[in-house]
Parts: sequence; structure tokens; C-alpha cells
Amino acid sequence: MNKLFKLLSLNMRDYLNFYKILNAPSFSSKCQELFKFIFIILVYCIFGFFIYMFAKLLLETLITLKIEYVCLGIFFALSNIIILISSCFLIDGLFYNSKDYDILNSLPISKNIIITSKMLNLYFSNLLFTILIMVPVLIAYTSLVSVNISFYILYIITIFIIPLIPTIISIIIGSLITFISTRFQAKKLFQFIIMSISIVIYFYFSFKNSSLNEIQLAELGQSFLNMFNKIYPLTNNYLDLLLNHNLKSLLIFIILPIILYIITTVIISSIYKNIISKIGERKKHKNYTLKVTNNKQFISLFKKELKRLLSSPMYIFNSLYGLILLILGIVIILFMSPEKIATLTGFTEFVNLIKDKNALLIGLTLLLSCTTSSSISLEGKNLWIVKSIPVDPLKIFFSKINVNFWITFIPGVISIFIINYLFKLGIGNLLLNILIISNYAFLVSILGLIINLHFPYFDWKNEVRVIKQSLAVFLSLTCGLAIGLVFLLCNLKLELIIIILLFINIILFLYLKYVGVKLWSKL
Amino acid sequence: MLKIVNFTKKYNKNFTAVDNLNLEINDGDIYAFVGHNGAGKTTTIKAIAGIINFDEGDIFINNKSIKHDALKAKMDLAYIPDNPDLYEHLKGIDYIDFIASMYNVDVNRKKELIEKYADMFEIKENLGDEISSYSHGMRQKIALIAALVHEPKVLILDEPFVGLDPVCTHHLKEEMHRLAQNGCTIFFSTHVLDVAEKLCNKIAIIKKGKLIYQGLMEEVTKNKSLEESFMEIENEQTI
Repeated sequence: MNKLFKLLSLNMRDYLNFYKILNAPSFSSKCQELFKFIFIILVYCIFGFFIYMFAKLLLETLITLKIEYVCLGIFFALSNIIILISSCFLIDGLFYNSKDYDILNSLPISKNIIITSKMLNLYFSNLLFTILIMVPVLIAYTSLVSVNISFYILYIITIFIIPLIPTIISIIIGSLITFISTRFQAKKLFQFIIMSISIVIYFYFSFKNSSLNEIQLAELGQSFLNMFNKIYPLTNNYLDLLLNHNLKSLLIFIILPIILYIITTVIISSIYKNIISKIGERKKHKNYTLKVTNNKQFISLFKKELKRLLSSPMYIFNSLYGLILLILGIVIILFMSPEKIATLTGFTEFVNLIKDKNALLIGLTLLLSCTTSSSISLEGKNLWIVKSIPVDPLKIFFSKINVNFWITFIPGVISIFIINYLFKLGIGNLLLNILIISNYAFLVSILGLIINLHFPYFDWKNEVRVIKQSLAVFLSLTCGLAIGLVFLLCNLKLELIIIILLFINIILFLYLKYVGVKLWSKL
Repeated sequence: MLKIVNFTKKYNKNFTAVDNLNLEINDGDIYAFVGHNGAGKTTTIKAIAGIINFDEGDIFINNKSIKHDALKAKMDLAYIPDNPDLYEHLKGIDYIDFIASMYNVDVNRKKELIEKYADMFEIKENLGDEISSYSHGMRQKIALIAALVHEPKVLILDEPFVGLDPVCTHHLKEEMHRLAQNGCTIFFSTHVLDVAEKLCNKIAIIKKGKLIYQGLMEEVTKNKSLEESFMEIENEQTI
């Protein structure tokens, strides 16, 4: 137990800034770390405020339909699904490709303690995410719906229990996929494909036969819950516990993680060394012939950045949340017409929103897709390479920006074409929308990079730390969300939005050129 | 030619890692940079390579300032760190190709030199493997090939022999001699004094950020080994 606590506290130092505040060598550096800590809290609060506003808007609609409890079910199911899917992509890096593997395994610490410490690390980061989602929802819910004290107690207890189950399930799934992938040459590609297919199958069976249709509109609340219960089967138990104080449901939430934990430690203990030794195997390419390219500096830098992104399923998935939302949205619109969606959801303005503000909606999803906000930190111990080569820092910046730009711009433009075709919006509208999308794609790319230049983190042992849990990523996501919502909610003309975006982009470019380069030289 | 003028580097404003260092390394010199752990060797080398900023002084590579004309200065320079952390997601050949394209190396010359050095360091058949599967020594060899493939005029190495097998160590020493004869400036840090004694024509000793000795190797090793001379110089400074 003592060893487990020591391992945990060691890892916590990496996450929690107050260790740095306490151990800073001088007063000025203590103040600097304190400022950073306050800033992190502020960014978290802003993000929480967005969730609060969103939950309140949703609740106002649900209260008129007398199905306000659906809001709790929706946020419960969504936070669980996000934790489950995003954690699956982290398992390989966190458990099996971590840089501390050699040192940990050479110490007299049992395998179970190492696994449990890693499991708890993942749990704590998912707990932070759950708090960030569920606390603003609680505030919004209790400000509009009257509840008793036992509701508060049970709600707070469940916040700590919620991330346990998806965390443990993700460890089982992620470990099994890693175990199978070790048998393949392109194991990262295999992992990405198999996880993507699993997600598609998961949602296909969740939505299949979902009884959300016009006949059942009178029972809309139950229909919604049925749908979310299919997506995440514990949703009904969660509501049963909160609303009816059913202790059976509480028992499920306590016993299930314990059973899952035992299964996980048994499975991982039996395949742990096997996976590690397979990962360490050196695969030789037979009949290798020497091939070199004639690439120019920029193309080589661009290819290097693209390969970095494609080499890590976790990097792809965690940086491109917005794109995944966009693709899902477009597929739903293609298979279910916007009119039908409007009827089913009771959101009558949906058709007009898609017609008039499709570029801003798509732009919002692009603003949530940012690979550049962790691209500087990801250089990590390789930073010496890019700093010692004879290349203008701006060229290095633009190689990173271009990767994110094209990855977001192409799906954005395809989506614009699809919506333009569905609504026959005309060539003028199409061109305006493409201009908006290109500006959004550039904005998120350059903004993410600037934020990462201000808040780099190079001493990571595992890339999870910078891709998922860094301040730069979180700040970039919050800024993107804020910018996207402001443009979406203000009724500005598209032409004016283009001018504003262009102006912001020019300012950001100049900032990168004059301040960004200086920040780079100090790294 | 490498010229270090009044170079000072401070960390956190209150710790001076290197204090007013002056060195001049001419074309064809093989210069050893020796000192305790934490004496300031790696800091100096990183500043020469343009990796870290510095507070005072300047560093010139073939008369081009690394501070004010960094891109031109770096064009003549190759740097190999003490711990070759390379891009793990790339194959060995992709990494070398990437570095060579940063120095605009002609494609035919690139191929010719990669073949030559891959044969020399016995790593040709592993060039197509991912760097993540390499051992420390193999990474070191890839870093060496990538550094040599653009035919640098100034070669900066931080502990270059760590992790290399005896055959490759021998080949590297021979290659360093050949490069120096062709006018290349070589500056490297090492803790292996025997290697420095046999390989270098000049030596600089640094202690707690200050240069305590510089001169010809034959002068410092008159009638005794470099190890003995090093200990004497160190003790004189302590007293």
C-alpha cells in the first residue's frame, strides 16, 4: 500500500502545480507558478461556465416538456461515453509504452501495484473531467428544479463513482486491442482501425431500433432515456438512484467497479509481460533497399509532422474531437433529413440554423479540432533536432499549422458542399462559406500553436500528459469554443464575419512572427 | 573555424553555468572539451549548436554569429547530443533523409554518403526499421550518419563514444581524423581521457563554468598521461 501511495504521489506531482509552487527555487519563480496555477483554475472555470450555460439552455426546453430529469441522463451518458472512448486510445501509451516502464519493473514492486497506480492515474484525470461536466450540470439543475438534500448527497457520491466504470472497461478493451495489435507489423494503424470500427459498431447497435419516432412524441422523455440507456446501459440506474433514491442502483455502482477491477487485474497481469516483450521485439524489413527523397525543407517538415500525427491513434482521436462530431453530424443529416431531425427533437429552428449558419456550425467543430496545441510540447526530448537544424522557426511553425489546416479544412469544405447540395444554397453562398471555413481552419491552427508556445511542457514521460491533460490543449479548446459560440450566437452577416476572422488571423500571424519566434528561441 | 567570445550562460538569473568562456578552434583541429559532471560542457555545446539562448558574448561558426545569423551559421554545423533522442515514429532512413533535406543535400550525394556511413557503422540492414525498435547504440549511429551526411565544416559532439561498439568507435575515430585532415573543425566533450589523448591535438578543461586550461595536447601531456595532468590541473585550481 505504501508503495502504491508513493507511486501515486510521484505521478501527482507531475499534474498538480502546487508542488511546483512549493518547490520553486526563488520568490519570483514561486509567483510565476502561482500565476500559472490561478490561470489553470480560471480556464477550468470558463469551460465549466460553458457547460453550465449549455445545460441551462437544455433544461429550459426540457422543463416545458416536463422531462427535466432527461438532462441528468444525457450528461451522465455523454461523460461516460467520452471517458470510455478517449481512455481506450490512451491505454497503449499509458500502460505499455510508458518511458518509466523499465525503471518501474526493475524495482521490487508487484505488477498489480504498478497496474493499479496507472489505473488510478487514469481515474484521477477522468475524475477531473467528470467534475468539470457534472458540477456545472448540478448547479444548472438545482437552480431551475427544486431538489432535497439527499439528491445533493447522492449526486456528489456518484461524481466519484461515475468515472470508475468507463475507466476500468477502457483498460480492458485497450489492453486487449494492444495485445492483438502486437502481432501486426503496423500495430498503431491496426489499433486505430480496430478502435474506430469498434466505435462505429458500438453506436450502430446503440442507435439501431432506437424507438425515437413521431408516434411516441407523447413519451418523448422515456424515448430519450431509452436511447441513452442503449448508448450507455447504466443511465436508467443512475436516474433511478438520484430521483428515486433506489439503493439497489447504488449497489450496482459500487459492486460493478470492484468486479471489473478484479477482472482487469487478472487479465492485465496475464498479458502484461507478453505485450511488453512483443512491443520490444525488433521487426526487420526484409529485402530493404535504400530509398531517399528529393524533398525541400518545408515538405520534409510537413511530412514529419503528418507522420507524427498518424503514428499515434491517441493523438488523432484526442486532438480531433470536433472533426469526429462533424462527420457524425453530416452522416446523420445525410441519412435523416434536417426537417425530420427538427420534428423529432422539437427544435423547429434547426432547418433554418443549418441553412443560414452551416459554415459557423461547421467552423465551431473545426475550432474543437487542434493538433497544434500540443505539437510543440510533443517535440519533448527531440526538441534539440528542430532547434539545431538551419531552418527558420516560422517554417517549422507553418509545417505544424499546415497539418492541422488541411486536416480540418478538407472535411469542412466537403461538409459545406454537402449542405449546399442538400439546400441548393447557390454558388455565392458556397464561396462565402468556404472562405469562412478556411479562416476558421487557419485560426484554430495558429491559435493552438501560439498557446502551446506560451505553455509548453517537455518533461513528459507519456504523451497522454500533453495530448490530453496539458494546459495548452485545454486552453485552446476553451478559446475555440468561446470564439465559435460568439460567432454562432451573434447575428452578424457572413461578409462581416469573414472580415473579422481575417483581421484576427492577420493579428495572430504577426504575433507568431514577432513574439512566437522569440518564445521559440527561449525554449 | 569555431570562435567562442566572452560566452556566459546563466540559469534562473542566480546560477552561472558558464562564465566568460573564450575559445578559438581552427580548421583541422580536433579539440577535446573536458571537465566534471555539471562543469558546463553540455551547456556550452548546446549554445554552440543554437539550441539554447545565452546572456553575454557570442559564438561564431566560420565567422557567422549563432546569435545574429543563426541559419547561416547552422548550415555549416552538425551537432550530436549525448543522448540521441530521435523521432521514434520515423524509420532510421527517414530520419537521415529528413535531416539531409534540411541542409539541402543533393539527392545523389545523399544516397552515396548514406550508403558509405551505413556500411561503416554496420547499420545498413536496419535503416528500414522504426527508430523506436533501436538500441541506444543504433540510435547513436543514426544520429552520427545524419550529422555526417551533410558534410559539415564544424562538427560538435557531446560524449560521442557512449553506447558505440568497439568497431564503430574505431571507425568514428578514423572518420574524425579524415574530416580534420580535410579542414573540418571538430569539438567534442568526453570523460574518456585516453580517447581524448590519442585523438585530439588540443584540449580545454572547464571547471564550475570557468575555463581553467586550454592548449596543445602535447604540451599538457609532457612526460605524463592526460589523466595525471588533468588531476594536477584540477587540484591546482581547488587549492
